[in-house]
Amino acid sequence: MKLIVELQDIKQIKPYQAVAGWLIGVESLSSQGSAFFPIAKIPEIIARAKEYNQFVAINAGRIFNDSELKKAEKILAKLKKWNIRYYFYTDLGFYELAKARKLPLVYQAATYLTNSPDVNAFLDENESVVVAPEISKDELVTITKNAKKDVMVEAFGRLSIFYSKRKLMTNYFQYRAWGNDPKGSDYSIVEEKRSEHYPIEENESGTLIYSSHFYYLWEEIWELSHVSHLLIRTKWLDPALFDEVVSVYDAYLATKAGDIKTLGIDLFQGALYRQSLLTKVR
Amino acid sequence: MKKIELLAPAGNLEKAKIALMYGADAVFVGGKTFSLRARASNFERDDLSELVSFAHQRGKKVYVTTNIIPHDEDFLALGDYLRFLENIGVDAIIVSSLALAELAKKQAPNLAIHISTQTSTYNSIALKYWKKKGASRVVLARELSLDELKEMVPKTDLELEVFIHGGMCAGFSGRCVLSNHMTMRDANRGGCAHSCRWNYFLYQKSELLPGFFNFGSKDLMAVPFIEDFIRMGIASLKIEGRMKSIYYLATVVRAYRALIDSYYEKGKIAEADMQEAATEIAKAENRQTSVGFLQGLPTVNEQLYDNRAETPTKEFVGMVLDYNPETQMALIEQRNYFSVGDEVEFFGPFKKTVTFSVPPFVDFETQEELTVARHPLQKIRMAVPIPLEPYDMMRLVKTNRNYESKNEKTDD
Repeated sequence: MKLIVELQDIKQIKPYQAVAGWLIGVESLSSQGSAFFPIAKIPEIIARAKEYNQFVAINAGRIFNDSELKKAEKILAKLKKWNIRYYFYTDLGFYELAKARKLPLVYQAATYLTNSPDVNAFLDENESVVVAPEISKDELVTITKNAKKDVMVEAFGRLSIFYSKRKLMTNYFQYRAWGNDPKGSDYSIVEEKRSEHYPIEENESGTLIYSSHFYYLWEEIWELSHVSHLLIRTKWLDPALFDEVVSVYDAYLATKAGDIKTLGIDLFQGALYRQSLLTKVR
Repeated sequence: MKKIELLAPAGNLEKAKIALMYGADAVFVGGKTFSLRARASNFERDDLSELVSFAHQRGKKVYVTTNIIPHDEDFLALGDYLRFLENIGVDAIIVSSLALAELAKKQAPNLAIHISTQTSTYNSIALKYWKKKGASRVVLARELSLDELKEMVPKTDLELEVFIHGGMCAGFSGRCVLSNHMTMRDANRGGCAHSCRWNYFLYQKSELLPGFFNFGSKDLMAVPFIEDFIRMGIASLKIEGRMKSIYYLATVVRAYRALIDSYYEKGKIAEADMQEAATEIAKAENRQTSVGFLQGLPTVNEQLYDNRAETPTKEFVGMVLDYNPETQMALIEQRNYFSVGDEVEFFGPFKKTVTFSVPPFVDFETQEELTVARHPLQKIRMAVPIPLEPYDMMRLVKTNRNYESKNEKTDD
């Protein structure tokens, strides 16, 4: 079991025991991510990672319309020349394009992979998949054990819980006639009867909302030892804490020592130990 | 050219029959499980069988939603359910899950497979994927513009279905788990709490910005674009809303039916017909509408701010149960309060709306003469010199409050 960590800055690449690779957000391909790197920067990232025997994976998690997909196709043609270990994607049009180029694919459909049959159906045509995080721990263990090939799970980070094509911040600020920067990265929303802050961000792919806290797996990791990779998402993580988070997971996988809860981060475990409901309880 | 399909939602058997009678070519419905509207009353197996017979006798179709994002436990009963749907002759199932689609191909191979909008199918290349998986139709993402749709249609031989009316998700359908995180209700298994329509406070860093932040979407209304959809070769036009009332369904289905028929009759849809359809729909619509993504990325005009609700301009007050053309007496079931002297409209499938002033009437059970109908489902007998048919509806145009207050103490 190894870690794949979402990269915020090329300077963060350094040797770790359990970090197998870096997940790279890319302009025009990614929707969510700690940073969207220009394509021209990818060879440098690959070279840097290679120094420590680490790989680079590309986050191509956008949902594309036809014209965006044409642009993505041109980017893929460039990327194909370089040593990319995985392409994480969610759009099945992207799958068709990448499959034709024999690229190594990881289906990260987030909300969709909530059961063993779907995980295995997508494993038939991908190198790996990322199992959805909005399921219970027992489901997570069962699904990953039932998987016919290597699967990945989300282990840490703010989860992307809403993805819209709409420019929701631009429209809202226009409605209010305010001059705020819609692409600012310091906005959060709080439902009127609740207290949790949900980060909200508009970028070139649309608008995304993230979970109010950092989702984490810790002791549960040892029940998931058959999983190939744990994903560390670093969006909204203070860069000052980046190394601490990666290091604590790195050490935990190597020695079972340490505790993520000591870092003072707002953590939660989502649906891991809570039964989700189908209808309102009256 | 194959005639475009008008597809309506139905949360129960009565709604499905009304939708079909008012002009839908097909209805989509959910069973008690595996459907994305857990709060709709939905269909027992007997109701589904009855609906399929009812629809097929009229040359119409029934599609069943099995578009939850399943968990392992959901698969236990799926095979049996899919075989049941195949046995009763359901025309297609609507699915989001690849595994469920593959299970259906094995267990119920005669069921056509429609790919749900929950899959966010947003480009023509993704259509190739679903074609290879055996789908016969894809319900496209609601984020597509008219121009994008025009480019997509010639690139596939799959049937394409687009939404033309009703609620819009603020995000890509199926990609939103706001409801899961805020209420623990699983949005992708029918529990969506519509968190995108709530009021939020917006913070910039720690500073609270004034007013509520809203990001919900106005409902879609595609009246101006029906001719475009027909000309470009879309197969099916879908109305959203399995939770909506029979009155809403009858009104909206009838309006779009008239537009589609107008096109095939005259080769185009006149501006006046579109205006009439929009006016009719407004009589039942209780939310603000917009064109969604059809003219490009939504602007401020397509968003729902300050959660303003609109009330329908006309109220549903009665449904015709029977009509005797010789005596010109109608049997009407009360659905909302009305009184003698009220100005009402009668409307029904494939007929013009007629305005009428309510005359004195009697309670069907007691034969008591009445001037007001107060009780829900009360049966009223009334002289109506306009040919009516069962399932015609009566809506209030203008109330006669003076009559009502003057006679308040004499009735009931």
